[in-house]
Amino acid sequence: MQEKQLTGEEIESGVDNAKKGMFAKAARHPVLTGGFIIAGAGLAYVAVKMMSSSDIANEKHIETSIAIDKTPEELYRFWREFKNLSLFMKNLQAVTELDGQRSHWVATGLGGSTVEWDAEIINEKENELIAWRSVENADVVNAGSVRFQRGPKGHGTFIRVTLNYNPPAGSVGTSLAKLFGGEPAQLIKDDLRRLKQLMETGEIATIAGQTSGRASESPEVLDKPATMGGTQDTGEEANSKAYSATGELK
Amino acid sequence: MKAVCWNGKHDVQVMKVPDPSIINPQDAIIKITTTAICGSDLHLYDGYIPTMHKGDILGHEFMGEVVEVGSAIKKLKKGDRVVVPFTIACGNCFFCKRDLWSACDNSNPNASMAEGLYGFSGSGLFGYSHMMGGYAGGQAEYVRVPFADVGPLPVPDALSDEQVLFLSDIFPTGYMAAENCNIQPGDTVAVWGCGPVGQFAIKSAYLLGAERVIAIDDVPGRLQMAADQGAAVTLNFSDQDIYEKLTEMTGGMGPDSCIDAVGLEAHGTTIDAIYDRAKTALYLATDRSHALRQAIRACRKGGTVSVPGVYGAFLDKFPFGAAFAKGLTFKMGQTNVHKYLRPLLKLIEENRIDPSFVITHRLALDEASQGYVTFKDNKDDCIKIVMKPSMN
Repeated sequence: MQEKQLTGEEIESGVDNAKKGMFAKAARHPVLTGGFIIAGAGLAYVAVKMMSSSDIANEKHIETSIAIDKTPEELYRFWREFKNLSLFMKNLQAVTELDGQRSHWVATGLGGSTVEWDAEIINEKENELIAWRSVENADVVNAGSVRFQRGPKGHGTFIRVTLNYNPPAGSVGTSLAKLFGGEPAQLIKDDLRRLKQLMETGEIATIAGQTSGRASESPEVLDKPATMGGTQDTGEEANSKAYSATGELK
Repeated sequence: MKAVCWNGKHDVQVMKVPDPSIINPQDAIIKITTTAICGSDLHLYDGYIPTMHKGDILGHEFMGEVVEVGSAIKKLKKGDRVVVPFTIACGNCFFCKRDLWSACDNSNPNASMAEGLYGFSGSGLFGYSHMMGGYAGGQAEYVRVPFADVGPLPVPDALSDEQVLFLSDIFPTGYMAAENCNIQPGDTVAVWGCGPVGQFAIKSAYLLGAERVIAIDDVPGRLQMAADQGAAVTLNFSDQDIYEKLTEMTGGMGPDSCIDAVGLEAHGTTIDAIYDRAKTALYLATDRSHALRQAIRACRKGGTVSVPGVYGAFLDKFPFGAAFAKGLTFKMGQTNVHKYLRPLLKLIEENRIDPSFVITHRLALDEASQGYVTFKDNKDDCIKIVMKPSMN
C-alpha cells in the first residue's frame, strides 16, 4: 500500500511550495499548534509547550477520512476551486476567493444566522495537500487541512480532513456545535459523504422535496376515515439542500 | 396521485398525495402498472423496522412505464416499460463495481442513521424506512426512481407484467439465496419458509442443480405450492421434529445447505420460539430467530446457511457454538438485484420459469389496506398479492 503519512513538518513547510517563516507564524497560532499534535507526533511536544492551558481546554479537534473513487489530482482540483465546497458542505453558503491565498467564507448557522470568516492558505502541495486557517476577527477560529492520498489498488483516493477550532480565549464562547447545531464531527463526515456522492455519481442522493403522505390541512384518505392528507417531504433528517452539480463535473 | 402510506403499526392507508417529480438529474418518474406487497413489507406493517415515519409511501416491488426522465439520463426513454430493482444503486462506487449492488455507497441519503446501528450503511431502498434512505415507495400510481440509467430494466413486450414484475425483488432474492449455497450435484437443500421468497429459492435450487429440495412451513397452502410448483419434499413443522426428520432424510448427515427464508418474525411451537415471542413482546430482543436456529442445528458439518430472510437488529440465543463446531458458512444480505436482472430475464424468456406462479391475489391499488390484512393473516391461502392502479 502506497499510503504515506505526511508529517507535520511536511504539511507546514511543503515540499514544492515552501514558505519561509510560515512555520514560525503558524506555531504561534493556538489552533494550528493543535494541528501539529495529530499531524506529526514529533512536533506534539513543541506544540503543547506553546499552548497555554486555557487553549488546550478549548481546543476541539476533528479528524476523519473517506475513500473516493477518483484520482488525487481530480479531487484536489475540485476542492481547490473553493466555490465548489458549498455544493457538498451543507451549512456553507459560499466561498469567495479574494486572492491566491485568501478567501471569504459565509455559512448558515443555527436559526438561519450568518457566520462569516476569512481564511488563508498556509500551505499547499499540488494534488496532495491544502492547509488553511482563519484570520483575525473570525466568528469561529479554525484551522484545518485536507490531504489527498492515493489509496491501495482499487480503493481510489483517501481524503483526510483535520479540523481544529477554538473560540477566541476570553471572548464570548462560541463553538461549531453552537453555531451549526449538531455534532461537528458528524457534520463533516456527512459533508464528505456528499462530496463522495457528487464525485462518483455526479449528484447527491436526497429525498428532499419528494412526495409523502404526511399531515397537511386538506385530509383526503381514500380507503378509510382518517386525519391525514398529502404533503411534500422536507427530507429534514438528512439533506435540506437538493444538489445537482452534474454540469460542474464534466 | 394515490399512494399506500404507512401510518403506524398495523395502519396502512391509501391516500391522495402530491405526484412525485424529478429531483436529481439522474431521476426518472415511472407510471406504475403493477406493484406488489412483499413479505418484508409485513415487517414494516408489524412495526419491527425502526425509523419508519407516519406518511411514508410503501412498496419496493413495482414496474411500469417511464413518463419523465432527468437531464442526465442517457439510456432510459419516455415510454420504456421497465422493472425496477428494490435496491437503489449508483453504478459507480466500489461496491457497485464489484456486483455488490445492495451495498452501494452513494444511494442512501441517511447513511449516517444506518451507520449508527450497523457500522456501515447499505444502499438506499424504496419504501423501507428512513434508515434505508427514506425513499418513497412504489405502491402508488407514480414513483420517482433515482439513478434511473443504472437500475430499471426494459422488458420485452412479449412478456406480461406478472411474468417480469418479480425481477424487482423476490425472484432474484430467492435465486441469490440458492446461489449462495454453492450447490453441488447430489446436494440436498432445506428451505425454511414457503412464502414467495422460499418458493423462488426452491425453484432456483433446482435450476442450480440441487438433487432434492425440502420445504418447511406450517401453512398447508404454501406447502402445497412448494410441492406442486417447486417439486419440493414438504415438511410441516407443526407435525414433527424438523431436526430429527431432516437428519433421518439425509442418512444422518443433515442437509448440505439450509436457507432461512423466514427472517425476523419466525413462528414456531418449540420452547425457544415461545421464549422469543415473550422476549420481543417485552422489547428485550428485536428479532425472533427460531427458523435460523433450527437451520443452524440441522445443517450438515461444513455446510452453508443462507439467509434471504430479513433481520433488523439483535438476535437472542444465537447458537454460535454449533455454527463454530460444525464449521458452517453463512451467506446473507439484501439482494444484489442488479446482478441478476438480465440472467433471470433470460430464464423467463426461455420459459424455464414463469414467476407469476406465486400470485394468489390480484387487487386494485385502492384495496391495499385489506391486502395487508389478508397477507398478514394468511387468509384465503394468500401467498402473493399484486396490485394494479388501473383496476381502481
